[in-house]
Amino acid sequence: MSPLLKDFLNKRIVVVTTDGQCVKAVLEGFDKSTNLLLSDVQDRVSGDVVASSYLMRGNQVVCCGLLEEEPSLQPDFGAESVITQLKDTKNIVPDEHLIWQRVWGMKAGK
Amino acid sequence: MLFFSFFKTLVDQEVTVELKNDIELKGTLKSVDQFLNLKLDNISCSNESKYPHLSSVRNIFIRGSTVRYVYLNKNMVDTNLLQDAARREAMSARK
Repeated sequence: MSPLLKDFLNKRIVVVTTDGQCVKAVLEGFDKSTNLLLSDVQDRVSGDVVASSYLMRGNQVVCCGLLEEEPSLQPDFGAESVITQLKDTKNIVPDEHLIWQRVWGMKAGK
Repeated sequence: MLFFSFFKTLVDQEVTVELKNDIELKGTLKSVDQFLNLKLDNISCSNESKYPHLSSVRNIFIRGSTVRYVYLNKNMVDTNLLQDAARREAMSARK
């Protein structure tokens, strides 16, 4: 068991996932592959309740930070539209197939 | 295990970690484990205004698999020593 997350047990944390989602929740448990058992899961920005309990696969976790603010207090991020959506970690090139199509087309033309 | 040992020598130093989702976190390295998961303390986000999600977070756990770069200060790493150790590890792996 990775002991690094032990300090966060039963505390409110912020979790960022690989698909760019950001939630705050209470850490109920974890294992060595960073699978997380969360409870009282809320969206970080809007504060909407996502689920009362959540098992997050370790490979979806980007980072978890210890939240040091009043749990009831919803932070003021300013106008919600200003907040940029977090990026995912996938590094996907949009319309990559079109780029490769052109590359292959150029090769065939030679 | 070489880089695990290497990161252990960097504990309590200030590092900047760039994640694969383009967030850069600067903080004091507090601990590392075998997967190169990192724990940083007193973090600041270099693009905080764009990504305020981690404001009011100071102590953070980062999963090793999502780290793109760890920026180190030049004087924090002895490249000759590291190169030597890497060679030695490769040699012992071949045997």
